[in-house]
Amino acid sequence: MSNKQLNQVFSVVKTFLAIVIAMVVAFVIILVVSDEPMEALYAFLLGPFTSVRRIGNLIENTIPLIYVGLGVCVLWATGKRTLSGEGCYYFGGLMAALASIKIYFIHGKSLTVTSMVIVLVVCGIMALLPMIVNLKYGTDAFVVSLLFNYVMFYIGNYIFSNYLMDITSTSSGSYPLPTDSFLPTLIPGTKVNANLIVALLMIVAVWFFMYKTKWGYSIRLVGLNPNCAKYVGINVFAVCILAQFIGGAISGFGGGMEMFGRNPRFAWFSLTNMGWDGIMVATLAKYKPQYILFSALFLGYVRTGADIMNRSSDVASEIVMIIQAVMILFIGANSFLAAMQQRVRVKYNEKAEKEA
Amino acid sequence: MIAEAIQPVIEMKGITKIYPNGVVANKDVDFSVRPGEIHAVMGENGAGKSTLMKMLFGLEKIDKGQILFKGNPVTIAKPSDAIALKIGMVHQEFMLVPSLTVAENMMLREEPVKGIFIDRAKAVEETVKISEKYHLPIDPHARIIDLPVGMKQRVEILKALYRGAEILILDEPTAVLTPQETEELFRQLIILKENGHTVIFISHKIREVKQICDRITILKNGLSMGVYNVKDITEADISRLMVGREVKMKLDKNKAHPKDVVLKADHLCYGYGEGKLKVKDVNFTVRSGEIVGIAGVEGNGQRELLEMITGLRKIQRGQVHISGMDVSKMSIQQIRDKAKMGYIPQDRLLFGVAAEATIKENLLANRLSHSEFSKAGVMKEKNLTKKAKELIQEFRIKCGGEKQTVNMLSGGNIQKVVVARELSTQRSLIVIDQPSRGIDVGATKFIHEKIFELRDADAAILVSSADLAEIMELSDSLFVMYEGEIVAYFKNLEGVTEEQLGEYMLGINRQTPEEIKEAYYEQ
Repeated sequence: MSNKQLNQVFSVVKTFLAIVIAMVVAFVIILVVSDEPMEALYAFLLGPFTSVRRIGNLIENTIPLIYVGLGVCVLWATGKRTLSGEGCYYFGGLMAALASIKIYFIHGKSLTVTSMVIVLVVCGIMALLPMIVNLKYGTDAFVVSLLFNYVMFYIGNYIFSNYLMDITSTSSGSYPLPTDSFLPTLIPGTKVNANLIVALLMIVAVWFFMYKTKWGYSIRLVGLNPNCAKYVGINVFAVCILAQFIGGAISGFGGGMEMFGRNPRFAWFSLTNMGWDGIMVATLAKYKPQYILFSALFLGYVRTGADIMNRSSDVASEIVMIIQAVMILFIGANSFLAAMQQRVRVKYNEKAEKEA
Repeated sequence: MIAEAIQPVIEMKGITKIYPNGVVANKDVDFSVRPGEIHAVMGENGAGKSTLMKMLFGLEKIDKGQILFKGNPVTIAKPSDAIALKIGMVHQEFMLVPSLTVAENMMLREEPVKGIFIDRAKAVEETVKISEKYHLPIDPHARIIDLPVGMKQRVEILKALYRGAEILILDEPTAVLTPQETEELFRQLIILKENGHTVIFISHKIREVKQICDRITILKNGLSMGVYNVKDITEADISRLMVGREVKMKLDKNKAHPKDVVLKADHLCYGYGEGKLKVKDVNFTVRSGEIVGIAGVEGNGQRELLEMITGLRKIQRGQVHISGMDVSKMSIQQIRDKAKMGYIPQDRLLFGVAAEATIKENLLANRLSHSEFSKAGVMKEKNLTKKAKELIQEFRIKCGGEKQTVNMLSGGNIQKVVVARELSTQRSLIVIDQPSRGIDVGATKFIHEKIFELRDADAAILVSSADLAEIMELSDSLFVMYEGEIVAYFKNLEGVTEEQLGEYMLGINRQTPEEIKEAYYEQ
């Protein structure tokens, strides 16, 4: 086994172990707090697979996680970490609702496409500001983007209450979204629609962009060594801006697609937290687009399970938060299993030498 | 090989160290030092000298093996363990706080106190006491930032002695010194030896080791090649053991035939608002078909000068023209593509490569926009791979294929990656900062040959090196920088000695303005 393979194996083992440890912690808590722990565990672990509708829920929960996860992969690829995914996801949903409700001269699927193009452009631009002030004036990109998310939210809230809120309706929310713009349903009896296919295509597209185009290459090089990138003649400013635009656009796209079939009205009255979930999905996938499907599926599964457990037993769904926290703790810990890895490395080295 | 007759003060037995990137830095290395000797550790870069010493000082963890101190096994897990055993280390990069005085640096973490306040008078007194005891004079009130490199090194040595060190590890101490400063350091080391101290001297300069060391341990590729008495071994033998083959040191070099002016620097200044100017009114030209060298102690403005020429640093005053084009109005990409400038930077891991990217990605980073390698932004993988393979062969980069990451390579091979990228396209100007810093003899020779080859193909070449022997071998003409100014210019180097250059480098001597003016060739 070469050193590279060894590092890969340990990377996988560490991620897997982190998940296992997190789940064990969750089980222990369930056992302690629940009066009927077996029912709760059953609902949590197997609940998501007990009916078509629940499998549907699992997939529905997974799709937006794919988008925000991919968004973070690109947003963070230059090494400049921003939280713009959060604001962009919200704003994407809002812009999609605004466009599809207010553009009255286009109908049906052309309206869907037009709205989503608007979402891509607007959300891409929205993600730029924190990066521009960072590059130009040296502000902290992380903090500014965090605060700017609230700016986006309040702008959105203004637009919502002045232009979209349906005061005649008994349910709070916007005017109803035009049903002819909704995406076709894939699995009858669920809300799983063509968005699933688009999300899978998006994974391929982001992977292709990051690894097979010169722009993706430039973004990665800036992330690996910004000094070297500058020195070989890459325009670091432009590359950082590009990464933010694309990452913001993808996150916004995820929010926008939620408006075409999953909800009858736009009804987000706060930031959605999806940006933070995106960070979790991306971290679990080691920031590689090709692994996003698995990490999003896992997180979607845990969430769906917790939801079902919440409804069918006495354990609250907040247990998910504990699982996530423990998992991230172990995945982020560089020294986790490092000593063991070093021992194995030395052993393999000696073995390889004996054979040679 | 010599038998151990005297009880060694330190013994390292069967030391093995593997880094997380898979590099085997040391393999079953035995190493021992006798009390009161100056013991050299020699080897090419990447041979494992520094790693071995870092383990002795507790900076790296030993994977296998044992350390014996005066015959007893000890564990050195952190530097404070080593200090407790009276081992001190002077690193290549000085560990001093530049804004504090000598006395304050000496007492860091061991400050004498009066009540809750630091007793500054006592600190000064202690510093004077220790400096007199070892005959190493120093001004305790001077701030580190104002001291020349040789003095900073002396502070480091005194600091180690103040903490009670009896065994002193010096990691390539002469790399940053002028010939005069080196002589001074050697004098100090002899004094320490006479006082009963033990010195471990890491170096790859054979001449220096012959001059002051008693015994020598030679490392190659992480393995020990044996311990020898310095007086019993010839320079040729040492070289053979280090490199594994005879290396012809002098290269054949054709006579230069300079043609048109390619690089023109007019009244370049840098460092406004930083106290004093780092570059002061520098004027010179480089013509195609010649190699112009910059000699000087590091930190005398060479780096700033080169970075202004290559576009990495904004020009504050003055002008740089490459083939008639004004560099200050161009982006780095334009300087590289239009003005055809190639640049090999001093710090290859900081600027030269992205260590976690593959060799292929590093080799071709500067030419992705060329139609040969990408179309509508999509990279042409086949062509990229083919080109990378060609370059690996042409520049003899020792690696396990183009998909390996660069951090798996040795220093010399990383430098070859940078050189291959920079020199494999048509260049009219090539700027090289420290061409052979920390790389082995073989790779150095290869790079020097490439430089001559390109000069003979009419490229204009500007080289800066802190290694006097190297800069004298490479340059056709040469100027010396001291405190940001050109203080001497030599049209050709016949009859010029290292000592002469050393005097200009230290600011002892200075040519007349008329002589210096010759560095600027009027067409």
